Amino acid sequence: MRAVYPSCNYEVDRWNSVYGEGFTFIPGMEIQIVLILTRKVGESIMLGDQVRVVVVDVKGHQVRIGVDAPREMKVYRGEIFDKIQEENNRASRVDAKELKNVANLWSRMRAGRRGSDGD
Amino acid sequence: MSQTYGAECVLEGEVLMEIDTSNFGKIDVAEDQIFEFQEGIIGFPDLTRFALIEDKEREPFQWLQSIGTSELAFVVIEPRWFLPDFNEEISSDIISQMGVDRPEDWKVLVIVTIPDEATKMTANLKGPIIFNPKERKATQIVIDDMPLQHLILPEPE
Repeated sequence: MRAVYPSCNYEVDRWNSVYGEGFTFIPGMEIQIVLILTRKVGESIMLGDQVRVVVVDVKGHQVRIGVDAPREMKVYRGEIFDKIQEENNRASRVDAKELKNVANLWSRMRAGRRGSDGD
Repeated sequence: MSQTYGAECVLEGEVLMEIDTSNFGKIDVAEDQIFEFQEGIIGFPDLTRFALIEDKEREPFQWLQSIGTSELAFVVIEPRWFLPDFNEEISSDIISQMGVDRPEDWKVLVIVTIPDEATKMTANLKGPIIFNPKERKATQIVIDDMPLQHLILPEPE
């Protein structure tokens, strides 16, 4: 099921009443909701045949989640993954000329530092 | 032989591959400059092949150029240039996330973001890229307690 996370408030309320609060999606971002499940402490979800996500404990608003996955599978905190994705995007917009200036600046600064060490 | 970036010492019979780049046009890269990113780079999961290119005019900055998407290239640098102990500090993360026991077999590079004010350029220490030169594989790992934007140049005094 594809959905677009709402970008105006009344839609957000309707969204929350259907899907629950707490998703950190960007308004207008298209997402694919495969499944929403309610689990009790100790219960788990299988993602494919090799990944198990378990609710270990719930304390107030915090949920301790356990992940059992093959070693080579990457497991990220969502907000950190999102931050890195955004930073990667920003970094990809670079121009070679700009970098030339930066590299010159770098050489000058390092030469300057060596000089100030009294060499 | 035409100018090659990074393939300084081309051995007899070494295979060179021509790739298209928007920064440098068509260039030749050697096999040992090509790395496979099994899951791509975070945010670019479909881009699995990159060439690591040295650039004499911009050292110690290097380029991580997508093979197949000429306009996608990242500026990268070895963090030892501004943080001598970085590799040591993250070696346990490399071991646990890569499942290897010898972090010294790996090379670490970080992606550089250059904002409008170039002197404020930053390195992404939270998502360093670990390169395995022997297997020619690489992957971007995540270090939770490292900064996303670390200033490379010191603040002016």
